[in-house]
Amino acid sequence: MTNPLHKKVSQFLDDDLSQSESLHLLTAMQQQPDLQATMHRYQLINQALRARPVPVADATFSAQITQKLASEPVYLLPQRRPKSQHYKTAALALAASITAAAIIIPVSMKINTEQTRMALASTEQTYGKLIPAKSAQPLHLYPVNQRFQGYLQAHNGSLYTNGAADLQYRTQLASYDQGE
Amino acid sequence: MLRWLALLGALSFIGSSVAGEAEDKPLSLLIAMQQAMASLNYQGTLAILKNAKLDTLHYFHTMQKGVEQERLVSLNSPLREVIRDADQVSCLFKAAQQVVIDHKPVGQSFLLDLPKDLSMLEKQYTLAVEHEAQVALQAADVMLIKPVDQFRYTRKYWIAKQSHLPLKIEVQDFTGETLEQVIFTDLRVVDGLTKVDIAMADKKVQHIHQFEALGIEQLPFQLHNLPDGFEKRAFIRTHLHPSNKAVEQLLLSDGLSSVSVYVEKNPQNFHAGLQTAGAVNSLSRVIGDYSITVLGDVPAATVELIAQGIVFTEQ
Repeated sequence: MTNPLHKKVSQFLDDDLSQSESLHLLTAMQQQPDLQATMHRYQLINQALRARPVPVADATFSAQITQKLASEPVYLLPQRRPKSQHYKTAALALAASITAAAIIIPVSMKINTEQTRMALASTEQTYGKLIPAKSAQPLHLYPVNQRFQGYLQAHNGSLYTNGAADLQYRTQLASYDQGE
Repeated sequence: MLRWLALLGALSFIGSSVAGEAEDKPLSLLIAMQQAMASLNYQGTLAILKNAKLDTLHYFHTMQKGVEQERLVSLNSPLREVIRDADQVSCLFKAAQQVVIDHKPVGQSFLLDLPKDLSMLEKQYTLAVEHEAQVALQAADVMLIKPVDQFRYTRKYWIAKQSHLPLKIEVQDFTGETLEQVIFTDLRVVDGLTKVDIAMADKKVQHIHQFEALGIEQLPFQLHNLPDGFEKRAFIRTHLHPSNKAVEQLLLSDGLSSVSVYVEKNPQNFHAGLQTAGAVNSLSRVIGDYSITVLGDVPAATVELIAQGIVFTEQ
């Protein structure tokens, strides 16, 4: 599609040409039968891509079209969109990303809590206990407090194998109903 | 020469005990690994991924005259050398020239802990040898230790075919996600390894976690929700580091997974709730004048269940 008029034909079919440009192209078509044939080919392609019913042509005609298409280089035209639509898309994408993050982050933070529910539900019959619904309150992030570090160190001495001076894990601290 | 012969003898003994049976009998393979870990002298480079933090260390294991020693030398800051002799861990912080001596109620390996009677694991876990793999350029059997319930994590061991030493250890959650990983990038059996002592001269020495054994019978509370397989191992009074606050600690274990229950009276600035750091979960709550914290390398469900079932016998 080196001929700029061929590009215009494609844009014309996509309704991406302004009124003056369309008129200019139609005038050119009247004078150039080759350009008319190009437009017919593009129309057929367009119809085929949109799965519209295409009139059945004889084998010779199809072969000719195929031959013509084979010699036509692939050209992906950028779709002309009104500026406002770009902004709309960007805004929608941003909103979608924020929504997704708002859903995914708390869900991933709650994985352990969800697993707790699942595990306790599966063993409810054995232990006859239920996790209080209130314990599923929103989680908040806190730096690991000194008491937790002390407990952890006394439990498994992890500071020796896992660094001593920089124990700044981020952990989850869920508000918890004591149920007493 | 004699040492080499002894080493070859040990290897052939371990090898013969499981020869041709490893894939059919996972328990035999586990026993071979346990024996190899305890009896051989070996060293390697260890990468430890815990709590989303990677650390690399040189690892040395010696067994001399029936005395076992593990030694770690960090390759990254903070530079430190850690030696475990049975239940005492000495850590030299090189920059501060400070030695911390940590007293433990039970000896805990830096690599992994296994119960003396490995057959007890089969009550709570299913053992299977999955397939073969290469770790640190050594052929290994991959052993999967999967819990029968959701109160403990899955363990995966890559056990060297030749030496039966663990080349890689993983702790995985229910979904198969790796929570902790310990992997040797190189590991070799070395006959000439000898014990090392940390030189205490001219260094500040601090003792932590010095404890007083209280005895299980003095436990001031009952555990109504203890998942099957967990047993009370020790009840001690110890001091937290660095606050030096006295706490009582009950140690629970199913042989592979361990849980501590900490009890403090009239705690200050106490946060009740669930905390997670890698494979470790803890749940804290207040009961009357006491705070209790259940912490262990078990799923959140387990600490929550145990904490829910704690009832003080006297207030």
